[in-house]
Amino acid sequence: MLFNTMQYILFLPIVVSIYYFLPSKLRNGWLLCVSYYFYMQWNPIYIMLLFSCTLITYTGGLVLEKLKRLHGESEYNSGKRNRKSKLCLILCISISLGILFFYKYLLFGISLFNRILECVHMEEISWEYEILLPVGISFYTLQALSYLIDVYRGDIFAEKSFIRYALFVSFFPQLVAGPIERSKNLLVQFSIDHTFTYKNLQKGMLWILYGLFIKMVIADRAAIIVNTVYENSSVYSGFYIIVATFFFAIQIYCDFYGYSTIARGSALLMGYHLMDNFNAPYFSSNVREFWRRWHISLSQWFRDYLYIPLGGSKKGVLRKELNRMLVFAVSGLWHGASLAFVFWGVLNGAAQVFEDVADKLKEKLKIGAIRRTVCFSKKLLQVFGTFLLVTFAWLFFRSGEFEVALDVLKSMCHFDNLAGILDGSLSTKILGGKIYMNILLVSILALFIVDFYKYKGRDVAELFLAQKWWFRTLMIMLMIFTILLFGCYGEIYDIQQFIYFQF
Amino acid sequence: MKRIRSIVGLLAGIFIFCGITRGLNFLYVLDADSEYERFVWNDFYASKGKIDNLYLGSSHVYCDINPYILDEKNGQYNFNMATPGQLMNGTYYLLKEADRNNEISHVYIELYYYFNVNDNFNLYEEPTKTDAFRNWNNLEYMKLSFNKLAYFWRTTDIEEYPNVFFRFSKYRSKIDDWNYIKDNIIQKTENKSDIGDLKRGYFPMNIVYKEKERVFEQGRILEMQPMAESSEKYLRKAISYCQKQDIPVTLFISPMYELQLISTENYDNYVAQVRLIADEYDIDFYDFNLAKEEYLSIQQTDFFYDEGHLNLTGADIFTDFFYQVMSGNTLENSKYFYDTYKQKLQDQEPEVYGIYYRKATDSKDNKRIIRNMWLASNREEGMEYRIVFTPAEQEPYMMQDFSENRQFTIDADEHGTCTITYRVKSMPDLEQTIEIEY
Repeated sequence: MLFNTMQYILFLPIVVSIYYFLPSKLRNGWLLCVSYYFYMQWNPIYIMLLFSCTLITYTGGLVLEKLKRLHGESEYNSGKRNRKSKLCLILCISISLGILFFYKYLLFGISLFNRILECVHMEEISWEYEILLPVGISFYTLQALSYLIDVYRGDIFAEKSFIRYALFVSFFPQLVAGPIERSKNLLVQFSIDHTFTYKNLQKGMLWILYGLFIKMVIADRAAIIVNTVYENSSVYSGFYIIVATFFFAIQIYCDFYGYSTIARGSALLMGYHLMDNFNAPYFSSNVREFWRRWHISLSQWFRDYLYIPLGGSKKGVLRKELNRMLVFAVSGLWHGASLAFVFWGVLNGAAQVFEDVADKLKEKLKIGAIRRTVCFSKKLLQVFGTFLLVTFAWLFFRSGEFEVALDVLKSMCHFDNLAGILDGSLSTKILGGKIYMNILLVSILALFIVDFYKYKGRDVAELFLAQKWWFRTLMIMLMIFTILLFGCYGEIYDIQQFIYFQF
Repeated sequence: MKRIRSIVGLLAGIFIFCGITRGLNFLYVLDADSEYERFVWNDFYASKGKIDNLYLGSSHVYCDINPYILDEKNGQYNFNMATPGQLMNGTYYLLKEADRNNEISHVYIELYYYFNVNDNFNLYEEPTKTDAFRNWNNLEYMKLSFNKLAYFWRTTDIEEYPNVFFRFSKYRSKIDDWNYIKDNIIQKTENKSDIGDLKRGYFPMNIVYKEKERVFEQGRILEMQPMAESSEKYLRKAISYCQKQDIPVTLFISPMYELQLISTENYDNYVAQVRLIADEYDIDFYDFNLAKEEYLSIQQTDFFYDEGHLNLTGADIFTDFFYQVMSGNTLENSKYFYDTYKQKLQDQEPEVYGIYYRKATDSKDNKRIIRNMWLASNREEGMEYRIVFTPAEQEPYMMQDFSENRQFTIDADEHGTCTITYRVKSMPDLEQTIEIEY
C-alpha cells in the first residue's frame, strides 16, 4: 500500500478514527494489527520476517536486561559487560543481519564470488532461485538493532510489553522507509495516552498534503524525464543526461522527503512525533553538512552504531578518515546490493575526507581566519558546488549498476544536442507539453522557498498555520488542485513506487 | 467565538473547493462523453412507473431496437435502458434500478461479444476496470440510492475514485488546450447536442454504411477468448435477480455486419457459451446473427450505419422481426435460425467480405508497427485469392497470385487500394474482384 494511492488515503482516516474511538489500552493492539495489515499488502508471507525480527530482538532485549540485573547494574553501566551479554548481542545481531544478508545481499555476494572464481579459472557457483526483497527490511532491521544495542549499552531498559515493542518495530507510517526511529523517541510514545488535538490534525494533514504534492507533482514528474533519458542513454546523450541527472537529484529528494513527510503527518494525526529526516539538504555548503541534513535518521544510526564504535574521530586523523570512508561504503551497500551503490557511498565519503583535508590545510595556511566572514556570493558558490558534487554521485546511484553508470558517463560526454534542450523539445517530447515543465519548475521553486525557511531554522508548518485564513485556504487549494491536475496518478501514469522502498 | 470562526472558515473552504471543482468540470469535462447517458437517464426517470418491457445492453440495443414500433405491436411501454459500451455489471445494476422504479413485465438482455470477452490485446484485459468510465457516466446521472452506492462500490476501482469525484481530472491531458476549452464552453453555453432529443433510449441513425468500407480492425479472437469471468458472473446475477422477482428474461444478440462477425474467427465459441448459460437457467436465447436470410435479410450495408450498428431502416426491419420472434414460442422460432454461424456461412455463396487486421510489433524489428491482415472469406478452404496492393502514389505490387493463403502483413502506415480477385478452386473461370481502400 503506497502512500500516494487512494487505498492509503482511505485507510488512514479509518485507522485514525478507530484509534481515537478505542480505549487507550486497546490502541497499541489496534495499531499493531493495522501495521501488520499494511505490511501484508505487499507480500503476506514476508510478515513472518518482520515478526521474526521483532521476536529475536525482543527476546534478546529481555535476556540482556536479565543479564544486566544479574551482573549488577552499576558495574554493567560502567562498561564491564560480561561475556554472556556480548554473546547474546552478537547472536541476535548475527541472526537479524543474516536474514537481511540472505534477502538483500546473497545474490550480490554470489556474483562477486563468481567473478573471483572466474579470475582464478574455477567453476562458478550456479544459483537459479530468485529472491524477492522484502519491502522495508533494511529499515526495520536497523531500527530493531538500535533498540537491542541501546539495551546492551544500558541506555534504555528492555521493553516488557511485546505488543508495544512489536509496534515500535512495525509502526506503519515509518515501517517501510523510515525514518529509522530510536527507542528513546518512539518506543516511549507508545506508553503515553494520546488525546485528539485540532493542532495535530491541522499539522498532520498539512504534512500529508505537502508530502503528496512534492511526491506526485515534483518527484514523479521529474521521474518521467529521468527514466526516459536513463533508460535510453544512447539516444539521449550529452546535455540530456546532465539535465536528467539534475532532475534525479530533485526526484530522489522529493520522493524520499515526500514519503517521510507523509509518514510524519500520518503519525501526528494519532499524536505521535516522528523525527524529521531531512533539513533542507540542498542548502548545504559542503558534503559533510549535506549528510547532516539528508536522511538524518540513517546518518545518525551509522554515527552512533558504527562510526563511534569504530573509534570515531578520537583515534587520530587517519583513523577518523578511514572510519568515515568505511561508514559511507557500508551506507552505500545498505542502499543497494551493487558496486554502483558502494561507489556512490565511497564518493560521498571521499568528498568529506577531501573537505577535512582542505580545512586542515586552510587552517595551517591561516586562510580560514581571513575568510571567516559569511558572504552571500561565497555561500552561493559553496551551495552550488556541493549540489554539483552530490548530483554527480547520484548518477551512480540512479544507474544501479557500475557498468551502466560508466556507459551513462560515456554518453554524457557527447555534447551535440544543446539545441534540443534549449528549443523546449525536452518538455514536449518527454513530458508531453511545456506546461508540465513550467509547473515542475515552479513547484521546485516553491519547494526551495519552503526549504529556505527550514534552513533558517523556522518551523514551516507553524509559520504556515500562523498565516491569515484566506492565505492558508488559497495555498491548500493550490496544492490540492495542482495535485489533481498535474500529479502523476490514474490511468495516464503508472503510480511510481517510492524509491527507498527497494532498500 | 474562535470555534465559530473555525467552522465558518471550514465551510468557506469547502464552498471554495466545490466552486473550483465545478468550474474545472465546466471547463474540461466534455458533455459529449456522457451525452447519451444524460438523455437516457432523464427520460428513464421521466418514465417512472410506466416501463413494462426493458431492453438492456450496449449501443447495439439503442441503435437496433425501435421501442415505438414495439409499443404499437405489444401495446406496452418499451424502454431501451441501453448505454454506450454497457458492461454486464452495469446491466445488473441498471436492471435493479429499473425494477426499483417500475413494474417490469419482461427483461431483454443483449450480449454483444465485444464487451463480454477477455482480451489478450491488453486494452480490455479486465473489462470491469478499463471500461469503468462507462459505468461512471451512469453513476453521474443515477439518483442516490443503496443500489447506486453498490454500483459505485462494485464497479469502481479504488484508485479511480479521483476520476469519479473530480471528473475534470480525467480530461487533464487537455489542460492547456485552449481550443478544446473554448469549444467546450461554447457547446455548454449554447446547450448544443450532437445526438438530438433522444426518447426511450432509441438512437435512430439515418446514415448508410458505405460499400467500400471493407476494412475492420479486430482486437478479439473468440476461439482464444471466452466470456470474461466478471461478465458471466453478472449475467448470472441478472438472470437470478429476474427469476427471483418473477420477471421473465430473454437473452439475445443483435445483428452485426458480416465482416465483423467473421473476423472473430470463432464466433460459435461465444454463442455456445451463452447458450449453455441460457439452458442452465431455462430461458430463451436468440442470436439474430444466425437468422436465416429468408426471414431477416439485413446483412447488407444498406441497413447498417457502421460495421456493428443498424441504421434507421435496418432498425425498423429488425424490430419487426424481433417482435415476431419474441412473441412466438421457442419451437416455432427455431425455424428462423441456424444452429451455428458456420452453418450459415456454408449456406451462402462463396464470397470475400473484406479484410480484417490487427496491429502488432514486428517480431524482427520491434520499432516497426505492422498490420497483420486476413481476408474475411466465408470459406475456410477451396478458394484461391490474388491480392494486389496499390499504395498511395506508388507502384502496385502483387502480394500473392491465386493462392489459398488468406493471411499477409503490411506496414501499419501503408495506405492505398487492395484489389482482391477470388475464385472457387474447382471453377477457376468464375472470378470475382473487389477493391478495398485500406
